[in-house]
Amino acid sequence: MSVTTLKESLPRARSLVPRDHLGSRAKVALGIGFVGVLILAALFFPLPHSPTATNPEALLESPSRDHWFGTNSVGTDVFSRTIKAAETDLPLALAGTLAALIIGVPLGIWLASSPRWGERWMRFLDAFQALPLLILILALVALSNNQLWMIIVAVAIYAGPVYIRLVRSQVLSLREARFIEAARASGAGPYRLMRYHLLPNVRGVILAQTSLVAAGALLGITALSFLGIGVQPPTASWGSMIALDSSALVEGHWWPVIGPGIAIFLCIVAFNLVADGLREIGEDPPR
Amino acid sequence: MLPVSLLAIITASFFLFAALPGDIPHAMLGQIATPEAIARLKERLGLDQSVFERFYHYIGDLSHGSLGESYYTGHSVLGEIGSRLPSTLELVIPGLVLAFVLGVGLGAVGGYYDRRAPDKATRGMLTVAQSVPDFLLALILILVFFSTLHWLPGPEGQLSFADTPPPHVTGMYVVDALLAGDFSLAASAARHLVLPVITLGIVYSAAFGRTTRALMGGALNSEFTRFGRACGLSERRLIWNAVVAARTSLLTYAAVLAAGIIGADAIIEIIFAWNGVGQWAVQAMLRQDLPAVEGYVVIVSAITVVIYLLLDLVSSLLDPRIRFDVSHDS
Repeated sequence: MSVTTLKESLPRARSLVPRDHLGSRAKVALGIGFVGVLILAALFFPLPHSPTATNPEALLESPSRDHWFGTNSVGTDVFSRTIKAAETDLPLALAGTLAALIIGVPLGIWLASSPRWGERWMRFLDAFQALPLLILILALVALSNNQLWMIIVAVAIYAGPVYIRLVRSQVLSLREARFIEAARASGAGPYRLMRYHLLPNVRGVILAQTSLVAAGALLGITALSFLGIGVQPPTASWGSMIALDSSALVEGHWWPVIGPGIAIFLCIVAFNLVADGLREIGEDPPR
Repeated sequence: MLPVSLLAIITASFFLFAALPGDIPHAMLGQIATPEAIARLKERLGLDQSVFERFYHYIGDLSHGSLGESYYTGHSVLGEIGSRLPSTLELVIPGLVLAFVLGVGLGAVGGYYDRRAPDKATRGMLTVAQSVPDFLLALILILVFFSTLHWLPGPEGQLSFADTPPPHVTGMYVVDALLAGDFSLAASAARHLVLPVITLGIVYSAAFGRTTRALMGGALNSEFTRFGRACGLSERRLIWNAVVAARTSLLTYAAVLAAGIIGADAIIEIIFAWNGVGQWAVQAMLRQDLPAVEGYVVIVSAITVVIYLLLDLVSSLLDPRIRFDVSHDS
C-alpha cells in the first residue's frame, strides 16, 4: 500500500469514531437528563394535585384529564404522588451510591498498593460476600426503626465491596504498565502516580460501575419500601405506592401500580443507558 | 474454613442486630406499656442481660442444635424455619432452573449472532428483564394471567382455598400430592407454582444472560473456534464447544445466584401469599423478632456456605485444571 492511499483512507476511518461517540454521549446525556429532570420536577414542578391528600369521594378513579394516572385506593392523585416520590427515592439511591464510592475507591487503591494488607482484606471480603446481604440490609433498616440514613448505610455496605474489588483489580493490572514504570522512574511519588497516572485511567470504569450501582440501589430501595421497610407513608415512595395498591391491581385496577412502576422502570433504564454510554466511551477513548 | 466463616457470620450479625436502636419491649407491648410490664418482658426474653451474656447463651444453645424461640409465638425458630423451607425450595429451585435455561439460551443466541439483529433483540429482552423490579413483574403477571385472562390461580399461596394439603412427606406440595397419588391436587399445586416461578425465572435470567453473552462472545471469537471452523466442524459443534469452554464460569454464576435467590425470593413469597421462609422472615423483621431474624440469617448463611462448597467440588470435577486443594482453602 502506497503512502498516498493510506493517507486518503485515514480521514474516513477517523470520521467514524466521533459519530459513534456522539451516540455514546447522547446515551449518557439522555440518562442523566431524565433522572435530573425527574428530581427537579419533584422539587419544583407545581403538581396538579396534592401528593399526600386523601379523598374518600374519588377512590380508584381510572385515568382522566383531571387525574392523569387516576387515583389510588385512598383517593390520592397517582401522577402527583409518582412525581413527588422521585424526591425521596432517587436522592436516597444516589446518596447511597456516593457513600459506597467514597468508601470503596480509596480502600481499593490502598489495598492495591499494600500487598500484605490487600490479601488479608480480600479474604475478609470473600467471607463478607457469603453473607445473605439482602437479608442483612432488610434487617438493618427494619431493626433501626426505619431511619432513612440507615438506608444509605445499607446501600454503602452492599455496594462498597463492589468498588473495592473493581478499583483494586484495575489498579493492580495498571501498575505493571510501561507508563507507570516510566512515571516512577522519573521520580513521581505515590500521590502523583495516583492522581495523574492511575486515577484518570480507571475513571471510566468506575463511572460506568457507579451508574449500575445506582440502578441496583434504586431497585433495592423500592423493594424495601414495597415490603414496608425504609421510607414510610405518608412520605411518597414508589415501592410503598405499589404495595398499597397491589390488592387493587389483582381486582383489575391497574393504574395506581403502573404509574410508579413505569417511573422505576424508566429510571433503571436511564441508569443502564448512562452505564452503557460511559463504557463505550471508556472502551474506545477519543484520540 | 466452613465452620469458621459461619461462626464469623453468626457473631457479626448477632452483635450488629443487638446494637441497632430498635425498641423491642415497646414494639411488643405498645407505646403505653407500664414499666413493670416492660421489666417482666425483658426478664422473660433475657433482654435484661448484657449483650455478651446473651451471646454466650445463644452459642451454647446453638451447640445443642437450637436457634432459640421466637419472641412472639414462643415456638422453636428451627422448627418454624424447617416447616417452611420445603415450600421455599419448591419455588426457588424451578425458578433457578428456568432462569438458567432462559438466560443461557438468550445469552448464547446473542453471543453467536454478535452485533446482528438477534443479538440486539436478545440484548433488549435482557435489558427489560434487568430493569423491571421483581415485585412489579409479579403484579403485572397476576394482572394479565389471573385478573384478565383467568388462566392461572391468583396470589393465594401454594393451593386453592378448597384444596386440603397432601399428607406431609417432603413438605413440597407437588411432590407430596404425587406421592399420595392425588393427581388433581398435584396439578393444582403446579398451577399455583407457575406465576411465581416465571417471575423468578425472568428476573434472574437477566444476570445469567449478560454473563453468558460475554462468555460466549469471547469463546466464539477465540482462536479455537476459528480453528474448529477452518477444520470444518459443524456450527452446532462449535457452539457446544463454546458452552463447554464457559462451563465453570457459568456454574460459578449459577451458584452465586442460587445463594442470593433464597434471600431474595421473600418479595415473591409475600406477593403470592406463599408460606415460605422468606415471607416469614420479613414478618419477623417488621415485628423486631430478633431470634427469628437471627435464626434466618444463620440458616441462609449455612445454605450459602454449603452451596459454595458444592461449587468448588463440582467445578474441580468439571474442569481438571482446577485443583480442589483442602489445605489452601481458606
